[in-house]
Amino acid sequence: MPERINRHEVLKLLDEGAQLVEVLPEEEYSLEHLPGAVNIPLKSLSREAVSGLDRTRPVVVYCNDIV
Amino acid sequence: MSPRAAVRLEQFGVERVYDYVGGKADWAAAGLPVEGMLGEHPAIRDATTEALTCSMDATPAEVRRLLDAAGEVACVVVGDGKVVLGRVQRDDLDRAADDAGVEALMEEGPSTFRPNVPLDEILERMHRHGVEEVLVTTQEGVLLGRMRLEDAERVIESSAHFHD
Repeated sequence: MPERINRHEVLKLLDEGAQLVEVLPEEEYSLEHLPGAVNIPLKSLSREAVSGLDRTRPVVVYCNDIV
Repeated sequence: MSPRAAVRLEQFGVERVYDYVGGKADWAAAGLPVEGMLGEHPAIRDATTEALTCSMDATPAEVRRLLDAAGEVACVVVGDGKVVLGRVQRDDLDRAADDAGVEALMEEGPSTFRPNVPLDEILERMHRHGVEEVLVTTQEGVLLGRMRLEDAERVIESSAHFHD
């Protein structure tokens, strides 16, 4: 089960080279996203879509908030 | 969304997957930098808040309930992709029959600004036209939020103090 983390843990993981993935729709991503985040909308999530991620590095996914 | 996405990534064989529970809202609330259209215009972003929205096929009763729940007096009518179609005011809803459509009640073409317009320019125009609130949209008319006069003044003032 993926670990649920807070902002401080995100920052630590980023120092370790973590990749950020925003899973909101493209329009929302283009308005505002975390620096360096790539956009893979949840509806488009597939093996092919994530093939560009580096499997050797941690991946942090996020959306808008807890809701 | 992110919990489901995190589980799917694991299913796709990504080993170290984490779900940032607080998400974008938490990140922005901490004042951390962001990229994207709003990220390029931080003053606009700071002065913009979420607008209450409804669809064209909402009934007056439904919109009144939305307004009451949120303590608001106006609601933005949006179409697909949150494209702004108009705005409907509480006064107009109160006078309307329950079978009236929101389309007939709404004000078409409310004042909108793009996020790349300087905040002081927006504020000057709001003062000049006696407007208490404007909508912030993309070039394509997609709603980004609303900007109240008090929020624009607050951001301008805090920016002036910062530079003192």
